[in-house]
Amino acid sequence: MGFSKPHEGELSINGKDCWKAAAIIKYDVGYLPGELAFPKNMTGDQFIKFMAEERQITDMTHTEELKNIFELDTSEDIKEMSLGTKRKLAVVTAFMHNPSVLILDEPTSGLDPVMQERFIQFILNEKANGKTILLSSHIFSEVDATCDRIAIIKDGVVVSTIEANQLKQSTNKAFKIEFSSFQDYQTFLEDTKFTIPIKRPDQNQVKLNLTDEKMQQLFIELSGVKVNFISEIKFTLEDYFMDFYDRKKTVAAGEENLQHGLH
Amino acid sequence: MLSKPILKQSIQANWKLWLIITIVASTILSGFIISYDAAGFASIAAAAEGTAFSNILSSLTSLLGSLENFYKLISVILGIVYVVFTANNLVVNEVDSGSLAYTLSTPIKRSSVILTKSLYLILSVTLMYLIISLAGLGASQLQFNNVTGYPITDDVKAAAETLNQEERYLSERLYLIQEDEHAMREAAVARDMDTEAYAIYLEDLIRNRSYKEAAEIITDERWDIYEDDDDMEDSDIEITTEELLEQPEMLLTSNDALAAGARIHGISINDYRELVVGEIDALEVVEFENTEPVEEETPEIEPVETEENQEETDETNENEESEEVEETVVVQDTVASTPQREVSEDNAELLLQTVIDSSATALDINSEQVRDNLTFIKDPTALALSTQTTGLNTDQIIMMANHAMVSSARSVDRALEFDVETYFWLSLGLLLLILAMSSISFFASTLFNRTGLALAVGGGIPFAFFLITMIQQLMDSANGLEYMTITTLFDTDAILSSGEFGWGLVALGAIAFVLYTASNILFTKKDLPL
Repeated sequence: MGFSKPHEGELSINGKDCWKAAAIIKYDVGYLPGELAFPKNMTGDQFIKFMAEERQITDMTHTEELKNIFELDTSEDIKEMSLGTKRKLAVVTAFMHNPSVLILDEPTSGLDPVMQERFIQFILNEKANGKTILLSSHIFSEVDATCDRIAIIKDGVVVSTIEANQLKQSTNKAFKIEFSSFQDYQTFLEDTKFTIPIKRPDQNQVKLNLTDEKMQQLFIELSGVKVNFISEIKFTLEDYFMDFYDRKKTVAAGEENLQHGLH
Repeated sequence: MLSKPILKQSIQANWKLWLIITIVASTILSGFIISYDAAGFASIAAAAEGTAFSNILSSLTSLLGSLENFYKLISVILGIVYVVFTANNLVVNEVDSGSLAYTLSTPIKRSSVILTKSLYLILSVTLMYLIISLAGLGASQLQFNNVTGYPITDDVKAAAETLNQEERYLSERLYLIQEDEHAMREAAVARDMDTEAYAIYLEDLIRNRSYKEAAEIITDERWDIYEDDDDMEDSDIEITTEELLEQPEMLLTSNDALAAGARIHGISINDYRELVVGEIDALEVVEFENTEPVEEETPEIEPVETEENQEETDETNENEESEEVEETVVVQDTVASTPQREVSEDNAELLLQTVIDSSATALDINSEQVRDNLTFIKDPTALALSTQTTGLNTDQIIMMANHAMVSSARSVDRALEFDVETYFWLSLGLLLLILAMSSISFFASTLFNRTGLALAVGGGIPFAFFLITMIQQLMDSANGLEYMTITTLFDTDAILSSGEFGWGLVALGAIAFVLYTASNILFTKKDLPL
């Protein structure tokens, strides 16, 4: 956004340098700051008018539409507004000039669940209209629902970049199986051709990983024994993320995880 | 390059403090001016003359001089409060809170953001001090009528009542008082004088005013003549009232000047011409008789200063030769030829004190009472004792009393004079000082990213300057402190005494210019933690 100079490398939006052409790129960029710090002593209407003047917008129909979508009441003094209302105000001002590139910093924090859902729908709609959206968030469901590519940043370094589809349509699956008796458990272990990374003899449980092609094989093996339940352990973005933060894994190990779906 | 919405937002966010400070400062300045007691300060200063306090009090003997505390301290601290908080609000506060992110997410260049904000601060400070100055001007005009015209003094008020004339109208036509005996009596009482002394005072005043107006006209004419002449310095072209008093013949060359002088006297131009010719003759006689005509013949050496210097040397002489004073005075009194010359000698002051004390003893009253109303000296009983103690004759003493009354009345008049030019320089100097202060705050506000730090530096430095000035004013001695604050560059003493003050003001302007420019450059280049 032209706030800070890049320490290394180059940054550009639509081919224009983000530092040198900072003012020009903003005709095409909508920015939603994470901090809800508005200028002092303004009502919502005054702020919208202020932003419109700064953006040199005269046609306010798009802004009115946005206000309707998010059910925003702007007559209030900004100081009196709830966190959610402030966030909605910031969202409206970020989208008011119908930008083609959007940079959204935690856009839904402070919004109630209904509005969060509406926001996600709105973002998906904008995406469908061909907008480029850069969204930073801690809320996995939101990222899961909207993003095509996901980067995980740890200590200021991008530790992983993945395609969202890779997560959703991964052919690697993890299952937890509980056998009805210890005997069945024993039998399964003896006969199986799978490698069993986790064994819990006390509960007669195993966990194993497999790919879609081997699914049939598993069920054939299971047909000979009695099973209490079989459940798929879903591998979510959250798990993936936590791998980096909780277990202090290296990037390589994280990537590995994605490949094998090990949990 | 200016951004209108940002200017609007800056005004919206800061107008309240601006309004409060403007009102407070205007009120204080007006209050200072309205409550100024010219006669009171003049008499205090007269009483303290020759003592250690005379230096301190001398500044109080004029209306503008009495405002020194306002210009050095009160308005400075009020200005500092405004610029520190506003500078902080404008930049660092928006960076620290993050609200600048909204502005910077729009297609407005950083350079216009910071330019608009610096212009807001500069213009708001300028407007604030313009309003304050105008308020002071208005207060002075309302209270003393001394900005656009001559001050309306007590005698004019009394005479106006007697003559049933407008005060303003009469203040410009003092000869009307002269023409009416009744008005003269009332006016004299209003100024604590008897008619005799008042007549001298009024004559003197009219004469001075006519010369002053004539001098202004002659100066204007000379400006037209010598405008393109590089050899002539401004001070050479300008003819002061004092120069004209010494060379009245200059008057005869200008019809307009004669007309102006005649108007003050209320006589025809021809009559006035004769009057001037008469004065020229009188002067020639004096010069002829005078053994030391040096001073009279060198009007180019800025007579104002010579006079002051002379006074100072006389004062020191007076202290040194206190033993021989009386003798000298007697000698001078007998030698001097015209009455004005005789009594204007400075060591008459000591003699006057003796006369006052004698009169007080003779009339069995307090010396203070006599000083407040010098007509007591003319009381026959008082006169008798005074002639004994001083060895002067009655005429001399009466003359001295008249002179003392006239000079004290004139000093009250002088105290009430409102020199618009001095006021302009005082106001401009104050504005430049505050702008320099604001540039320090503004620079700190753009340099730092945290409100606390910016406030500590951007507020601390101006406030330290203010404290140093305050200590300096209190101690009233120069011990190097004056080199540690930029308020020294705003030299009110020099402005009041028409000394050299221009470079100080230029330096203040330069500080403001450099720091505002640096702020603008810095802000367009720095990384913002938004």
